[in-house]
Amino acid sequence: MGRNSRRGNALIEFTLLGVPLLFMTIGIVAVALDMWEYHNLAYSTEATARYITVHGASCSANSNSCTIKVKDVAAFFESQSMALNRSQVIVTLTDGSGATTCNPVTACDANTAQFPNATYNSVGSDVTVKATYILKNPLAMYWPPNRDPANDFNVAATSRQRILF
Amino acid sequence: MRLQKSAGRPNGHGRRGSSIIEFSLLLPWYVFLFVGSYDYGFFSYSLIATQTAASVGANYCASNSTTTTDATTACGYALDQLRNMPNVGYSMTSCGSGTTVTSTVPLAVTASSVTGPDGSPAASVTVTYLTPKLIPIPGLLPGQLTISRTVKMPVRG
Repeated sequence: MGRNSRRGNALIEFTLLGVPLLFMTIGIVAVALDMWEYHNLAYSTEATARYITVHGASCSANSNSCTIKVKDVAAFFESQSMALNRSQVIVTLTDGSGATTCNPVTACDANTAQFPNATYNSVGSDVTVKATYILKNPLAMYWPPNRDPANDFNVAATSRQRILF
Repeated sequence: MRLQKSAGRPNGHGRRGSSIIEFSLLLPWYVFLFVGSYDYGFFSYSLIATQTAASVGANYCASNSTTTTDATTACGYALDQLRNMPNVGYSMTSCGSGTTVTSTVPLAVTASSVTGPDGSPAASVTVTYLTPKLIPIPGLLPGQLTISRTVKMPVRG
């Protein structure tokens, strides 16, 4: 077989095998990044719920001044979620008075409402933090109904905790 | 000087297809990397959620002396840390007994009254969680983990 034909073989082989190899390499990196974000989402949600539970009614008792607002909760979540793109995180804060949704989380950066609400912040009351994250990465193109890479898939984390202080 | 072709040197026919063989040799490692990343993400999420579940359950059980053994309410708190796991979801309302977990009831919570290291009454909560079935890597990574976390906390009230 001549040298020219051999060169052609290499090109065909690379075309056949290089493409799946490239997809798999991108896929591995994409999955690793996704899972880092997923992990960070769980951690941020748990840490934020914990942060709220130590800023309850006792923060306004006996001239204490550590009550917090929705914007403080949003800022705390953002400080814990270094792996996440803030414009893709939706955080829902729930206390006895109902739910406050920050879509995205940065939308609450200027929300000065007290949280947990002064009527529902007694020690022993529940607060819930739910965070939903929109994953946008090349992996989406492998997902059968979402072949378009622009399509997303969501992951979420929830934490319900009791107010401790 | 003219170089002579050695007898063992592959000719055009021998070289043809070698990429496929090389690719086949590499493929398992690529698959393992892919599967390992995927599994690790779910396992680490499960570890965080289970640790939080035990911590939040212990927070509740340590509220006063009557709640130290209230595993039912502690179960409710534990479930609310794991709602987003595919094998828990929002419909599950009860936990398994003791530390027994199955694929249909993947979460078990026990709560008991103990004496803390300082001699004071404390609550001890153990949360056991069976992760969803993922893709195993033979000899390296199981497809499913049973995670157990115990938290002890002094009784406050």
